[in-house]
Amino acid sequence: MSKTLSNSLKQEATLYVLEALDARESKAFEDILATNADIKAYTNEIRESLVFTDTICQIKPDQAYLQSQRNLLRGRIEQLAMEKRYSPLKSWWKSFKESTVSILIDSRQPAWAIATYVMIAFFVGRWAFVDQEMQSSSAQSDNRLQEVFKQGQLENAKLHLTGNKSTPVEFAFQTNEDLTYSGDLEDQNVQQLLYYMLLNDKNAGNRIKAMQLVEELEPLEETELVLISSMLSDSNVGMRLKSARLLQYYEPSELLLDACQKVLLEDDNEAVRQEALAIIGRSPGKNMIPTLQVVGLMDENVFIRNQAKAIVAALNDSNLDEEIEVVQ
Amino acid sequence: MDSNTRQLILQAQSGNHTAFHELVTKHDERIMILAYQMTKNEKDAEDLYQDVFLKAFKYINQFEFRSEFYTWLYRITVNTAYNYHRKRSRMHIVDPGPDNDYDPLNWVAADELDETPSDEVRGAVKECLTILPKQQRTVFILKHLQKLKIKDIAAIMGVSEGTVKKYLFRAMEKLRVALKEYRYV
Repeated sequence: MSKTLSNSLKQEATLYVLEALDARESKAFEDILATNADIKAYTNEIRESLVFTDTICQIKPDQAYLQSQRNLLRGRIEQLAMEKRYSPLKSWWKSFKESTVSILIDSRQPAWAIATYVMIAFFVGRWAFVDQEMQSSSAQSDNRLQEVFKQGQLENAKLHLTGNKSTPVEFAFQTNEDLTYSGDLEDQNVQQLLYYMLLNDKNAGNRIKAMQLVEELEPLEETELVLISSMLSDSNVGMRLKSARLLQYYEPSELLLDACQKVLLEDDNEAVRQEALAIIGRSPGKNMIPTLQVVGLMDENVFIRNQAKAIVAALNDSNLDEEIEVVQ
Repeated sequence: MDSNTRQLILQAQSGNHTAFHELVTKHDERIMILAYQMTKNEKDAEDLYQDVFLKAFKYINQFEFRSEFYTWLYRITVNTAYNYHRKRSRMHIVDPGPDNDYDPLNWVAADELDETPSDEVRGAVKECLTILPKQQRTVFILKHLQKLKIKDIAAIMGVSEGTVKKYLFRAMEKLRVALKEYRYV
């Protein structure tokens, strides 16, 4: 029967049953329906087929279930919003970065270089400009360290692990008074001295010792900056590699990703480049596509080339996906 | 678009989370049903639901009132579902095939008829819907199950109304042929 009907008539029948024809088209079709037995039978077949799909596909979620999904969504949105919310450290970091970037941009300094300046700012801020009102008996050690810093003796510090549970780390400075400073890893002065040593000590052994202790610190923003600086500038491959590996534990920030791109393009060691690429792979952005394309073509390591290409392919897809998904 | 929805969107665009959650509550049942119809399993439907509203939250400022809000949500749902499917294919994840448990614990049939179709008919309908090309299946779901207008479906899928009608006819023709033997039982 239906073989004798044209496709356009069958399409009209389908649209009629699905209420997709306008009033005029419906009227015209009903006129045909009244006189054509074949199309009438075909229309009935469509209707009967739809009855099956109605009973099987029409579903309704349980309200309690829907509410649980709403609660989950609410939590995820709050989490998203919290990440953007005010944080004193982030706010300070942002304003610092903005002001520093505006100064450095004229001299075309890359963003990764800022990390080093930030570290200098930490030291200068902590020891060179101690607010007189803040000085107290508990700040005496700060003052002594301030003196050491002013005398330029920090570079000659020696690091010992004392074995003492309360003050396991000790720094000895070659000053007139043979000053020592000890504390645990939660002591901010100890942390700052470790950072300084890691970035500035000429002896690789001392830097490695400092790195081993930095590894035990909670992942702080300051630590991230130190590790970025170390990954970018340490002359020792092992130190650069260790820094890159430790940076895997950090949420990839804009600065970290920027630094990883530089490493990917410039570091001689393929293991370091591979770690940098792994960090980029966790949070790739479309602004990285040019770098990744170059790496995909030029890197001497085939694995890195393939990985870079795969990230570019995924980026192209996801950029397109998300843009298309939300277009009105 | 009703003035309340418009007001909620404007508030959500200015950062009011409560307004956004009200928008969710107003629209999410339809989105969850669509997500389930598109993915055919509860777990994927939940993921899709969450993704759709997180994207809507993230991009709410890009909504320019050029379409109905629910049309925009539908569009995000359909596109995200397509991408799920595409990514799954690219990652060579084995598709579990037609869902054998179409009425999961948390879902109830909207119209629990006294005379429900046999398992055989259920299987045939599900299989047929599964093998339909994705555009045809989407058009069928949006028109017949979600009761949208052809014009809105065309806007959601980014195709012409004529194309929507063609997809609809082809989908329905395949269903009609596949279910032929059951119609006379």
